[in-house]
Amino acid sequence: MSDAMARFRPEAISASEWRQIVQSATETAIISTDPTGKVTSWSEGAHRILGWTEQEMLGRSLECLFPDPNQLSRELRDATSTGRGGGQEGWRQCKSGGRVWAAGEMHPIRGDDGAITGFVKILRDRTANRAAEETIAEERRALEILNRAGSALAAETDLHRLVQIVTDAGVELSGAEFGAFFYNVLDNKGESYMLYTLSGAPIEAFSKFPMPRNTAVFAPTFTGEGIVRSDDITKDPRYGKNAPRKGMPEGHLPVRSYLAVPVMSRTGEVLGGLFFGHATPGMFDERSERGLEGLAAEAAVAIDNVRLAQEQKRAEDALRELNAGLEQQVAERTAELRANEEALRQSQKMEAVGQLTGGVAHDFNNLLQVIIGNLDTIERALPEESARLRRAANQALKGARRAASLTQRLLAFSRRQPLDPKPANVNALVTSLSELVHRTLGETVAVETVLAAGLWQVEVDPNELEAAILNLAVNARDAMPEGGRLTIETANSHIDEAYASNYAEVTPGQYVCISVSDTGKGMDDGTVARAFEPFFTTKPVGRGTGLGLSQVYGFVKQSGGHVKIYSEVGHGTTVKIYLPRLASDGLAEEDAAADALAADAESEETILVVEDDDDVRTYSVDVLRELGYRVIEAHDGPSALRLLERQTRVDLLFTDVVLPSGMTGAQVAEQARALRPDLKVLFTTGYARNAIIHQGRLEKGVKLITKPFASNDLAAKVRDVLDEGA
Amino acid sequence: MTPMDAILERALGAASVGAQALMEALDQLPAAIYVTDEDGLITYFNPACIDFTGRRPEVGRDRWCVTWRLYTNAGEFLPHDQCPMAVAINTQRPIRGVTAVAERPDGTRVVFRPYPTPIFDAQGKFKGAVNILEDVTDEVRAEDFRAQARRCHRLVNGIDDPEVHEALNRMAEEYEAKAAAVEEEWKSKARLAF
Repeated sequence: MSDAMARFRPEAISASEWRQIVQSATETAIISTDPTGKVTSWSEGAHRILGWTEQEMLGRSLECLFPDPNQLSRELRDATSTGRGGGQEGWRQCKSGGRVWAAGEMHPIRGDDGAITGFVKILRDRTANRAAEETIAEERRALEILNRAGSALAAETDLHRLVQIVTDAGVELSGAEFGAFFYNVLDNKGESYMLYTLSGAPIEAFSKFPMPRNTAVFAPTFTGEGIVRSDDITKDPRYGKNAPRKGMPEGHLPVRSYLAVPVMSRTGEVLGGLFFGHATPGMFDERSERGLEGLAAEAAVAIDNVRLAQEQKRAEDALRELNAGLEQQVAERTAELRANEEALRQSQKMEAVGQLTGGVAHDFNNLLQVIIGNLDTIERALPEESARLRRAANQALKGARRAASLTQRLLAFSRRQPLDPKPANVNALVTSLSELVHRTLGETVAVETVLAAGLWQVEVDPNELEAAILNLAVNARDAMPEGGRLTIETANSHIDEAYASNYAEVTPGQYVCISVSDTGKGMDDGTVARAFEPFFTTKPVGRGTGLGLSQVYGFVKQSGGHVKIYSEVGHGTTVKIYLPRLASDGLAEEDAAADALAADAESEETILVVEDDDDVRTYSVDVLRELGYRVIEAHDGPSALRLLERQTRVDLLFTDVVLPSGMTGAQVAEQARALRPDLKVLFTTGYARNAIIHQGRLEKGVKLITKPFASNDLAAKVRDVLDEGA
Repeated sequence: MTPMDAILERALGAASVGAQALMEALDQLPAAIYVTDEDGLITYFNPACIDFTGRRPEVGRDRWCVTWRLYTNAGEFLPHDQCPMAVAINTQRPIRGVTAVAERPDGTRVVFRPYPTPIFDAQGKFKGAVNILEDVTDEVRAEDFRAQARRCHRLVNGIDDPEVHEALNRMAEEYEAKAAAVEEEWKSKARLAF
C-alpha cells in the first residue's frame, strides 16, 4: 500500500463535503428519496433541469416527473430487486409545464445493515442531444429519399413514370398527406400541354377539377418565381381571391399546410410544379422546403434528360424517315428508269424488226407488182371458152393479191406504208364506220359509240385509221367468243411530260384519243407486252397472221401518235390510239368548201408514164390504154422531159418515185410543171421511204399509188387525179 | 350534145330574145330553169322550179337563186350571193362541173348540178343569166353506194380475217347492187323526161 493510498480515507469526507460535491454537478439532477419515493434531497442540478427548488420538492413524491403515473413504482421496484431502476430515456415533466428529454437511473441507498433506507435518482438532460440526433436522422432520411429518387430518375426514360417517382418522393420527403406534380409536355407538333400525377390521393380525388390556373396562389410556382410555403394556406392573403371560386372548390381534399415548388429546367424554363398539402396546419418546415428544393432540382435534370432523349429520338426518327424516304425515292426512280429502259428496248426491238420486215416487204412488193400485173393481163386476155385457164389465172391472181396485202401490212408495221394524211373529223369517221363494224362482227357483238363533243381535228390517213379501228374491232370480237359489247369512244386528251417520259417516241401535247374496248377475256401482262410484235398471235392457226395489232402500231407511230393497251384477264381490253391534234382546225372546212364545187369535167386525156422497170411500165401503159387514155412512155426523167416538150397535150405525168439517170420522180415532176403549169402528177412507188416522203408521210398535195396495184386501182386513182380541181 | 346542153340552148335563145312563145316552150320542160337580169334578180322561172324548190319563187324579188336554202356537198350553209349563179353573174362566165344541195321548206333535200350561163345580146352586152338545175340526187346516191363498196374492198386489204373478208365482200356486193339499182332508176327517169 502506498503512502497516498494509506492517506486516502473516504470516511474522512464529511457530509457537508459530500453535499458540496453533489451540488457542483449542475448538469445532472441528483435526487434522493425515502423508500416510498418522497424527495429527501434535491440537487442544484435538479433545480436547473426541472425547475423546482429543493424546498418545493422536499417531501413530495417523484411521481410528478413522469408522464406515466406507474413509471415511479416500476423504477423503485426494479431498483429494490436488481439494484437499478429506469435507464430508458424519456420525457420528464418540468415545473414550467414543459418537458425535457432525459436519461437516468434509480439506485437503492442501503444502511450499514444493508437494508434499503432510500433511493437516489440520477437524471441527465438530453433534450439538446436528442434534437440534434433527430435532425441528423431527418436529414439522413431526406438524403436517402433524394438518393433513391435520384437513382430511380437517372434510370427512368419514361416521363410519366418519372414524374410519378418525383411526386411519391416529394410526399415522403415532406410528410404531406398528398402531393401532385403538374408538368408540361410537348406533343408531336411541339405544342405544350399539361399533365399531372398524384401521390397519396386517388386520381378520382382530382379528376373532377380543372387544371390549376395561373391564379395568385399558383402563379409563383408556374412562373418559377419561387417556393410557396404556408402553414395554413386558407389564411394566406392570396387564397380565395380568384373568381369564380373562393378558396378550394367544393369536394377538394382539405388543404391547410401548403407547399409548392417550381421545377425549372437548366434553361430557366418552368417544366412544372410540385404541390403538397396536408389537412393539418404547420406541417411543412424549412427542412421540407429544402428537401423539396433538392428534389425539384433532381426532377428538372431528369425531365431535361428525358426531353433531350425524346428530342434526339424525334430527330433520329425524322432522319430515319428521311433516309427511308430517300431509299424509296431512289427505288421509285430506279424503277422508273428501268421502265424507261424497257420501253426503249421494246421500241428498239420493234424498230429493228420493222427495218427487217420493211426491207423484205419492199423487195417482195416489186416482185408482186410484176406477178399481179401480168396475171391480170393474162386473165383478161384469155378467151371466154378457156374456163380452166381463166380459173387458174384468177386463183393465181387471188394468191398474189393476198401476198400483196400481207406485204402491205408488213410495210404498215415497219412504218413505211405511204400515208395520205388529211384533216379529219374522227367523230364523223367513227360514226360512219360503226354500222360497218357492226355488220362485220355479227349479231353477237353489240357496238356502241361514245363520241366526245367538241372533238379536235386530227391529220390522219382516214382509210388507214378505219382499217386500224376495224382491226381492233376484230380482235375484240375474237376476245368475246360468246358475244359481248364493243365500245368505240373518242375524247380530247393531254399527254403530259411525266407520261411521255415513260414511253419512247411519245411527245407531250394535245391528242385525240380513240379507245376501242371489249368485254372479253382480257390478256395477261406477258401477252400485252408482246401484242404489237408482228406474227405474235394468240389466235388458232389459220385465224389471222398476227399482224393486225402490228399494223395498228406502225400506222399510229407513223402518224406521230401513241398506242397503248390496257387489259386485265377476265375484265376485257381497251386499246387507246392517240393521234396528235391538228394545229389549225379550220383547214378542214376550207377543204370542204372547195369540195363543194367539185369538178366533174371529162375529156380525152394524155398520160405520160415514166417507169424504169420495163415489166411494170408495160403493164401500166397497157392498163391505161385499155381505159381509153392516150399514153406515151419514158424509162427515165430526161427522156420524159424531151417527150413532154414535143407533145401538144399531156394531162398527167405518172412517174415512179425512184428513177435512174440522176433524176428522181420529184425532180421530173418539178421540171415538167415548169413546162406545163397545169400538169397533174401521180407518183408510184413500192417503197415509201425516199425523197418524196417527208418523214414517212406524203407531202401535202402529192398523189401516190403504191405498188403493187391492180388495173381498177390505177383507173380510179388516175381519174381522181385528173378530175381534181378541173 | 347532152340533153342539158340542148335545153340550155333553147333557154338561152328564149331568154336573149325574150319571145313569149319560147318562154312558153320553156314552161313545158321538166328541168328547173330560171332567168335573171344583170343584177341577179329573177325575171323568169318555169313551173318545174316550184316542184324542184318546194316553193314559188318571186319574180323581181328573189335574187341569184330560186331555191329556199343552199348547202355545200359537205353540208355547210351556202349563202345565195355565193352560189354558182352569183359567181357566174359577177364574173360574166359560165360555171360548170359543180354540185350543191338545195333544201326545200319541208326539209327534204335535193342534190343538183347547176348550169349558170351568162347571156349577152347581139352587141355582146351582158344582159343577165340563165340557169338550169339538174337533179343529180340519184347519181350522188349511187356514187355514195359505190364509195361504200370501195371502202369495203379497201378494208378487206387491211384486215387479215376470213370471216371479215367474207362479210366485207358481201357488203361490197350489196352496195354495188344498190348503186346499180339507183343508177338504173335514174337513167330510166332521164329517158322518160327527154
